[in-house]
Amino acid sequence: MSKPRPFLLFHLITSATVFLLMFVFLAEKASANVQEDIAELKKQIQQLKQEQALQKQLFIDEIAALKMSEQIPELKEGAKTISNLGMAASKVYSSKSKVSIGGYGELTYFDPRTQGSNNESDAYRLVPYIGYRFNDWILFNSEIEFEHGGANRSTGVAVIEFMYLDFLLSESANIRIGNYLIPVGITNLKHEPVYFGSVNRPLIEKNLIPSTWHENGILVYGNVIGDFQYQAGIFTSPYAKNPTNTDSNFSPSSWIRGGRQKGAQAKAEDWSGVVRLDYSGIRATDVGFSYVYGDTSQDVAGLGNLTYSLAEVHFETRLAGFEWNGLYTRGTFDGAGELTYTSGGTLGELVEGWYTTFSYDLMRFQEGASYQLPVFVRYSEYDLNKEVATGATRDKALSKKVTTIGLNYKPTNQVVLKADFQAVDTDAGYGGDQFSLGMGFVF
Amino acid sequence: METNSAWEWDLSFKWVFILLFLGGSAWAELLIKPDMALKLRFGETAVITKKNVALNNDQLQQVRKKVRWPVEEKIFTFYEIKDKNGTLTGFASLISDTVRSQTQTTMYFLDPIGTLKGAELIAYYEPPEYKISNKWMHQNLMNKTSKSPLKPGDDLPIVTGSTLTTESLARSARLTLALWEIVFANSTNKK
Repeated sequence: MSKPRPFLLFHLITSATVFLLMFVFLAEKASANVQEDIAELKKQIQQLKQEQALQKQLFIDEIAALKMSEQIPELKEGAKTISNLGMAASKVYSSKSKVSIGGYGELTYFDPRTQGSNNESDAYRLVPYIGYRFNDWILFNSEIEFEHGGANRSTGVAVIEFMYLDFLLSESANIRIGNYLIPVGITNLKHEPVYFGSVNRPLIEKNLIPSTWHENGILVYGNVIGDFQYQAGIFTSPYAKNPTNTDSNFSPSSWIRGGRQKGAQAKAEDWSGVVRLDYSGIRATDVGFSYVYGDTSQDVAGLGNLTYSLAEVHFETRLAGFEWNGLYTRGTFDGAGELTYTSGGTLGELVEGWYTTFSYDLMRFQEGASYQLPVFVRYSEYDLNKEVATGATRDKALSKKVTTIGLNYKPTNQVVLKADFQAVDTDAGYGGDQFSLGMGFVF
Repeated sequence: METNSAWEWDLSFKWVFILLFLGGSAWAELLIKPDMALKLRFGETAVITKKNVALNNDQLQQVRKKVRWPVEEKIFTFYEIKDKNGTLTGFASLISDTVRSQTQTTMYFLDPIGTLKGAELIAYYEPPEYKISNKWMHQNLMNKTSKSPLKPGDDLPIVTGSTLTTESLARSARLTLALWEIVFANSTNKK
């Protein structure tokens, strides 16, 4: 037998040690990799848990916000209005997206109860609002109106009702430049159909305050003291008379309404000023007044200074199913004697009127009611010939007393079906009654 | 100028109209926005964090037991208030409850250890004659804890003509204290 060779033994021991070290090294490395993997997995699980918790919290926050807006509707996004505009017109100010699209529509059916008058159904208004917020202080807002079926018949119109840029400088002063709604009265700013119970807008806010009244100009608005909001601006004056026509644009039956230029290639020789103050410090109540003054001759040859003024005071209040509003207005026109009408009639130098509307939701105390059923009554008096030029004859038929009663069905705050009956008496006698139906929506 | 004298009688009508308006001006629904109520209570510099919480089934059972009322909802809004140095100064809850057929929403204020320190009516949709004043809430809810019965006729006086409102306020106060104890007490104690 040969003796083991020392070199071979050494070689075997060395190899075994190397193998052992390699095994230990590899095992440790493998173990370290596993631990790293486990740590990585733990980290991922932690991240997932955090993301899940975040998503759950977002979900909870969203539900809580929805719940709160149901319980306190005044806190709902979009319920916030800016410079007394309606909720859809104000959408761009509170929209989460830069682009905002809103709108409203009205369809009417009129049944005049006077002999010889025809019934009429009208796709009265379809109005999209489009707005865009460029940054946190500059935004664009617009209202485009298709009226009486749009432009497919001679009576239809498509018109820009407002189109302006708002520069939101501070709470106390913001600047609006463009075609804007003249801040007068209740309905001119909030003319969406869910805001008034009658199928037609209040007649005083059509024939004395010429809603919808919008012109080109500049407006400054904001809050200076507490719950007071002010608006002050200048705009292109109404156009009293086109020199190529015999009759003036103003008329006895709707006063300055026919002189609205609506920003369409508007004569800009004469400008009017408007100031408005609103107070919302009385709970659930808004009170305000406004005053407009300007020259309306627009430098037409042969016409002197034709100045007009329009003042109004109004309020709106709401509580537990009751809503009550009212408005008083008075307008003057200096120079009515210079304007003539081939069909006769006299333009008022002093016009005056007031109305009040009272409504109550019949479903208010019906437990679990999912809709509103307001009944309303409006009484108004106005006189478009309260005073006329010396020597002119006052038209008694332009002094009217109008009573409107009606019922609305509101399955939501944004949809309304309407029915009303309107009786008109004048100082000259019966002024005609009318039964009306309507539907409206806003979004 | 020719004047329409028939309008003269309108003058009295206008005055009646104005007086009626002034008399009715106390009507109310949303009385104060929650953010404003918090600012008035804790000051402009307070750091206010909204904490919407969702109860699990066990927590809901515990709440029902403490409130002694079949609470249906699981999601509630609380606010955590810290001063500008980061020190916890209190909590507030926003609780809506049906009085008769309409809701009232009340904000309850708590100190950091869960003691009631007052309340503010945020919105009230029932007729105003049923409403209870903030002064009443301040006087009667001050320093109540989860150990207090908060029971009308026991440790809370019933306001004549506003029984349902009193019961609703008491229920909402008990709910606030129960929610604070179940959701916030432990995390506050750990701090």
